[in-house]
Amino acid sequence: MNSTKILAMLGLAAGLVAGASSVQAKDWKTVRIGMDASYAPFESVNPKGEIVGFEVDYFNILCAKAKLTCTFQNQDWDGVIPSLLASKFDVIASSMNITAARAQKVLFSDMYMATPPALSTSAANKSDDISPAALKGKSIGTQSSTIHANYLEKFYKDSEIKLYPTQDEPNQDLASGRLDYVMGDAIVTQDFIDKHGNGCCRLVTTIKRVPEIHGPGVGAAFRPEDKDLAAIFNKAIAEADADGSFVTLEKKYFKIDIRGK
Amino acid sequence: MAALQAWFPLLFNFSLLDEYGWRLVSGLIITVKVVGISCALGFLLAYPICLARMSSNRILSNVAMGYVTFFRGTPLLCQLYLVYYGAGQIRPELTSMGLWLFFREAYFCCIFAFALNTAAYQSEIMRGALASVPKGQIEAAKALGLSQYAIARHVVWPQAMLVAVRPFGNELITVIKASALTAIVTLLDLMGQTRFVFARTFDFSIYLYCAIIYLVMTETIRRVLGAIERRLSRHMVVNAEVPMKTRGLVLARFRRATS
Repeated sequence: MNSTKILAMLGLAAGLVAGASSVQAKDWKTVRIGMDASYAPFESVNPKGEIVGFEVDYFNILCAKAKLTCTFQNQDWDGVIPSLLASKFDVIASSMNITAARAQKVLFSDMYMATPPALSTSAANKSDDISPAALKGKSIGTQSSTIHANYLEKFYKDSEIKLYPTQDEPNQDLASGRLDYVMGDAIVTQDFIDKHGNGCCRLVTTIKRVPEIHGPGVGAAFRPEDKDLAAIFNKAIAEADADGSFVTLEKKYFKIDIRGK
Repeated sequence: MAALQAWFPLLFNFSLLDEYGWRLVSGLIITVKVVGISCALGFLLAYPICLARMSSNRILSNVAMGYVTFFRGTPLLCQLYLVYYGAGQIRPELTSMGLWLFFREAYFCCIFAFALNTAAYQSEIMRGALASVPKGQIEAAKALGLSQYAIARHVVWPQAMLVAVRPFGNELITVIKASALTAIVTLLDLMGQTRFVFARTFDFSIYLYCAIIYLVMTETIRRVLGAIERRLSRHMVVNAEVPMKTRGLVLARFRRATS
């Protein structure tokens, strides 16, 4: 194959991609929502194979308010942003914190929740000292491509940082003793300890959010050109706050307030 | 040409290498270590497995066949998870045997799983190569009064090696490509580092660099093997003037005849 042919094919492929997204850009009726469903209680797959959790219920409320038909898709965390940009779905609703690096690639909605990060360790480890000096040389696991990974790389340079595709896996490795500590979302961590930990582990402490790393909180992410869709969801988020449906749903799932407002 | 110039900066973002190039290098070192060590261990394991498989003892040959069937018949990722997460589940037993320190490290888990896997494939390559040497030759050597070692050294091995060189090389290439799986169990090999950089930058050209590095590795091995094969098969070429292409044909015919 000569280079002209290759270029022609690349051009054709680019045209197809561009064509596919421009067809959908107007008049939203159905919206496909992508999430990494390995993040209970926010999103996980139940034994029947359905995606369930707080964010599923919350986005069903938002979609009802916006009169949209919404479907949910499971997608590995590392691939959520590329898949959104490739039009595999239209919205990311996956506890994605709004950060400057991500905002260069995607358009974020207003923040709809903010949960604290937390550090957990084995039940046998009684020390509550989590200063970088105390954790020097210890292994700390977390999910890759997350604010937690960025936080560890910035503040725990002398610890051995291990990155996993999902948050379930470092939790497993903490339970088996392969890791000394795990960093993750406080609510997800507590959920694991309560449901699957078998007394293996304990949450040492929650960590104060650092704005330049953790950002203001969690938002939905859209392709940069879908400003109209982002506006629809921002309106729905505000409505769900105003009529108390967020608080009602929040109380069903959590003991603490996660709205972050 | 103008179109090419427009595409080029899109595909190759060189500033990425300034900042993250060292990550690719450190990942490459891990990849080479894991592949090198596990293939070498696999080779050492493969010989006894191959002998067991060819043994006239039924139990021994069935056990070896079971081993080979399991490791060739299940996905390597599944085997890696079995070792990595399986070891985590039986930690108390491993600790009491003093093996936990080994299985605690993702690096050793990967080498362990890869060595077991490649041993199964390599033992089959050895078996096929040894079987390709006609029995009559061995009988003839015996009739000449050659010792067991002399038969192996001068009759069987030189011919078997020629048959086995290419499959061994292919297996090495397979393991290099499969080693990308280690990134899933936290090892920052070439693929792991690439994913790390991608998570930071969302710039897909890093995957392009990664692919190029893998390609250079596999292509180098392929060429080195070609050279080794030509060297081993030099006696088969009657006329030194015969071009390389024809030598390849001769060799292919030889392989068909012996396989």
